[in-house]
Amino acid sequence: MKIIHCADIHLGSKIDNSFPREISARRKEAVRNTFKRLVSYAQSRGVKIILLSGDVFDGDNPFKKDKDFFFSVVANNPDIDFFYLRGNHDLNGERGECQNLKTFSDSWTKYEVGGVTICGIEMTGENCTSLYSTLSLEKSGCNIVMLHGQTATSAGRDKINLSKLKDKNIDYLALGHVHEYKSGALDSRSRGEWAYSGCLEGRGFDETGEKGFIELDIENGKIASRFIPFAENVIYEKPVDITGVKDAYAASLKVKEELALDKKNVYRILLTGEVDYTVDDLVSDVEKYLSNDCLFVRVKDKTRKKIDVRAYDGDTSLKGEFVRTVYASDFSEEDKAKIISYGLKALSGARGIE
Amino acid sequence: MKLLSCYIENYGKIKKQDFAFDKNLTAFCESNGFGKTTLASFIKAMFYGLEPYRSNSKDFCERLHFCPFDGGKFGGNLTFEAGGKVFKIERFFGEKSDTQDECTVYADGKKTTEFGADIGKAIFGIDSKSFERTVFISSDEIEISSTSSINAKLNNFIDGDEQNLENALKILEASRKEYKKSRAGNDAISVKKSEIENLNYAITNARNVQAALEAKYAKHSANREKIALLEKRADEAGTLNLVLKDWERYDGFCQDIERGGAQIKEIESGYNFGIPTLEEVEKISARLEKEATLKAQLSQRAFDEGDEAKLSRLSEKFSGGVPDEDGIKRIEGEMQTAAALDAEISLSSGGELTEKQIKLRRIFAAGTPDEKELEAVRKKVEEYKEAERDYNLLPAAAPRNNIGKSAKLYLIFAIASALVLAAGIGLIFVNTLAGIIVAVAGAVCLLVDGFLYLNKKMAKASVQTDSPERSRLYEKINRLSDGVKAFLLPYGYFSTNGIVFDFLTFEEDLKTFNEMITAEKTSGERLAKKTAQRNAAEQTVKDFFSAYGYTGSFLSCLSTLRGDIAAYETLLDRKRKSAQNSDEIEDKIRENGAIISAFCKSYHLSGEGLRERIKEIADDVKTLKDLRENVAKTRERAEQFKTAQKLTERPKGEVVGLEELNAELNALRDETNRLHMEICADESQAEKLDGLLADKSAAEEALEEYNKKYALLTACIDCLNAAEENLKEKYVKPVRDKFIDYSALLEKALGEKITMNRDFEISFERSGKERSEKHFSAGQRAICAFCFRLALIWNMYEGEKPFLILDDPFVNLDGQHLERVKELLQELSKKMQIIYFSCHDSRAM
Repeated sequence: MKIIHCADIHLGSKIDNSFPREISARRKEAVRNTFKRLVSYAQSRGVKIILLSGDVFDGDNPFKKDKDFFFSVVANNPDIDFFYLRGNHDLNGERGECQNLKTFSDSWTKYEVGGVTICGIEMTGENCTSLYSTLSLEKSGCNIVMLHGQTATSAGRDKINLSKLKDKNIDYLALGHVHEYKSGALDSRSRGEWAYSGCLEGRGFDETGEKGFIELDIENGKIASRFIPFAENVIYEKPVDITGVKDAYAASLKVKEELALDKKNVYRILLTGEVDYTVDDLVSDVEKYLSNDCLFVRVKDKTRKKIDVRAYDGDTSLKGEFVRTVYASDFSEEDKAKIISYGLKALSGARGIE
Repeated sequence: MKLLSCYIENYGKIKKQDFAFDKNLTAFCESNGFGKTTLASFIKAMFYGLEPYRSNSKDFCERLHFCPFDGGKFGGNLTFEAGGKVFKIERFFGEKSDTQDECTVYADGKKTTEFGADIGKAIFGIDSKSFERTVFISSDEIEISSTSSINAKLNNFIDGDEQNLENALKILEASRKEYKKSRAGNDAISVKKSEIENLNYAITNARNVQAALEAKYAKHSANREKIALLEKRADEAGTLNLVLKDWERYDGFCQDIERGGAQIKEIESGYNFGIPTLEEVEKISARLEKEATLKAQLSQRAFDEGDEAKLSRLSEKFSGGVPDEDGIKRIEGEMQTAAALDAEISLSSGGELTEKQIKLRRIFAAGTPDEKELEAVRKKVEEYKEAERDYNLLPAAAPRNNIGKSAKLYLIFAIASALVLAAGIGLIFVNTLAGIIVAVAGAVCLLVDGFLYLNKKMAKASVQTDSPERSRLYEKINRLSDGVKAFLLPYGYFSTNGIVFDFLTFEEDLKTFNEMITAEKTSGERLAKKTAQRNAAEQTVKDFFSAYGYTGSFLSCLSTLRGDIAAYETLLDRKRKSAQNSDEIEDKIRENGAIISAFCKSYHLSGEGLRERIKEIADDVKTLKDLRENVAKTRERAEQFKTAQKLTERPKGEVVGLEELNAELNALRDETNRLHMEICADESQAEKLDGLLADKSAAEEALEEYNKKYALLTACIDCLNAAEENLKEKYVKPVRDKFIDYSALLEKALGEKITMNRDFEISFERSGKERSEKHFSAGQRAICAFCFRLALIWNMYEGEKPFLILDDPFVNLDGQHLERVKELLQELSKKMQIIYFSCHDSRAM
């Protein structure tokens, strides 16, 4: 039997402000599309169970169109059972009334499907510490437990104390809340694995890296899991040291050399290192040079501008006096470098000094 | 640096003259025209050369000024000592252009190029203009200010013009204004702020819409619940209505059963002695029918009175015996003979006349001409033919016009013909045949007249002027023609073929007509004989039929006879058979009546009106059967319906009207749909919030960057100005201090406390107030300028000091000031070489 474990779809969620409007809209659409694709994938693979470990919606009161979308997808795939455990974002949200939508409550709810026990509880303040003691699973069964919260060493609201779930006959702990794939052994013995599937699509530069879901293959009561990267677009944030480049184009080449850019993906590139103060317009120019190599790129200039202040020590000209004046000021080192850069360019008669 | 000597080949008025310079003070006190200014100019020209002449230049060019009038090589050489070396600059100039200038520099007697092309700049570090303002002091009014070159020299600006502060500030200011202008407008910061403001409005609106969504969701949800409730109520009411409708239908079945039972009882009540079965009734009914049929058969005997009368009449007719077949055939033969003869007679009597015969009869209706008249005309025709032949044999003459002679004759004839035609038409109403004949004759005459007139007219048109013989013949022809035509016209013979042809046609037709009349006379005799034969045959047949009383056509008589014979034989046969059947029918009537009587007795029925009663009984029995069947069927259907519709217990309540409920439901659905549309639209707007926030974030980021850049550019401008101030403070101060030092020597003479600012602007203090050096007298200003020059030189040249050329600069000084200056110069000459030119003993050193 195959089961898909996913979580944190966050339908209707806002997208990172740092994306421009069109990319923001596209990302939002991708969040919906990817869930739909996931269900199609499940159909194509003969998956009969999809575990949704919380935060399907971004809020208790999502947009009607998002609710309609989700419940429509569920209703239109009656041969798949959707096990929907609400998370901290949608704890008070609507449960829907689809036949194939199995829901949970603030007490342990169990479903028996094809020899597998699927058990879950929606975490509240009232049950967050007691849920460990109320969980009871058959040792002989194949047990999957669904929870939504952050793994921790103590129990509490939105906290999951993994150590308290040891030796509870859990074969697979399907977790939600953390937006990146993580997994680990639950018990010291061979039995039991916990895993966060992560979200399906990154929504900003705080959700970088591959996103997707976990596919469980259950045979003879044994569960084998594997992470399936599934995001429509992957968001990356990478620093690139461009020390020594002479201009923005060289910087863009350096970025391409260090990163295998993909047209489907979104990048935030942090330019680091030391460049000459005359290297201008790094951000806009590098973004321009890389724009055709990816879906969207944002460049941050974190480079240090190289100005050899000591070279002006004995300079009695205005240049030398200017450099010394700036360095004697209270500006930050970064600002001093920029001011000197502007001043020296202006004194050399260059137009478009920045 | 010291000037040692110079040799002037030709420069202005000075020619081939050597000058030696003292290492301290060399004073030239010569009258005007000696060439002091020329010598001073020569020394400068040796270092900096001469500007080429330009025709459009406003200034009087030195090259032109000092170019020797009487020719000769323009230039000379200058020897000076600097840095321990003795240099000699040898320069010769072209008249106007510098392209022919020659310049050679020797260092310790050897040619050198170490100073490059711009020797003055290389040696002094300043340009020609600056040289004039420092080491070269003339009597012209001089400004107390530095030049950029002097400043550069003072500041030791290595890069020269590149370090143009003014330009740098302009560039920075332009960049700064791109971000923020003094008046907010289309600068980047203003534009971005405006964009953010607009985004804030859009965000606020989107948030408002988003905030309002919750209420709409609640309303939508409440409506959905209400709809579900109403739908449930509607469903329940609908279900109840359906059940009640089923019960109503079931009740209908029951009522039908009851109604049927009542009708059955009512019918049964009319039969106290039992109800016969339908079979019985049908049998009795059949008996009654049979009885009626038998009685009818009996009453309607096969041989009735009519038949009897008919038979009697025929018996009388054939009292003499019925004619046998041979007799009849013989009569038929006689009939055929008479008919054949009749046909022959009819055929011989002429039958139908041919068209030709009719025509001839019409032509000769008025009679035929007698032979004498005919002979006369025939003779005319012969004459005509002869005359025409002769006429044609004679030669033709010139044509002539002879039209119009007989026109009146034709006109008269035409009128007469028209009158005949009119009369004929009128006669038609009295006697049709005669009218037609006359009208036709009139019409024919009219046409002939017209034809002849036209023919003659044409003939006359072609008549030529003939010879007398030919004319005579022509007249004869015409006369004969007219005569023949006059004969033929009444018979209707006229044509374009000529009178000969017409007459021949007439003769043929007359012959045919006469033959026709003769033939008619011969056939009349044969006809009389056949008529007699036919009459005899007819009489035989007529006699035969008369014996049996038949009259009329023979064929109808024969047909009647044959019919009467057949009818007579049939009637005789029927009469015989009828007598045998009557007994059998009466027996059957008796047997049938016994069965009917038994039936009536069994059910106490009266024999009177039995047929009607039996019909009623039959109807009742059938009705009863139908009613019983219907009741049974209805009962069965009712039970089936009850079972099928599961009607066990009759529900309470009545049928509910759903119109109001449905109206409410529809209204609520409409409202919910509208709300759904609103929510969709609002969600679309609210969904833009992310984009708007993204835009705002980007705009704020950009604004922050702009502000930052603006601040940095401002800081850069400030730092540059500060650096400039620092530099001035650093490099102007020594000049100022030195100026103060020098001016202090003269201050007493000037009687003022003199100061200098960073821009080398000299001022003095009077009545406690700073005042511009513009208030000085020309002499005082000359002293200030002199001191400023000395201060500049002192600071510009840190190492070896250059020489100082004074071209009678103190012309405006009074004796007291001049003495002070002289003392100063004596003192200065110890430190630097001074070459002093004056033109008056009072100013001589």
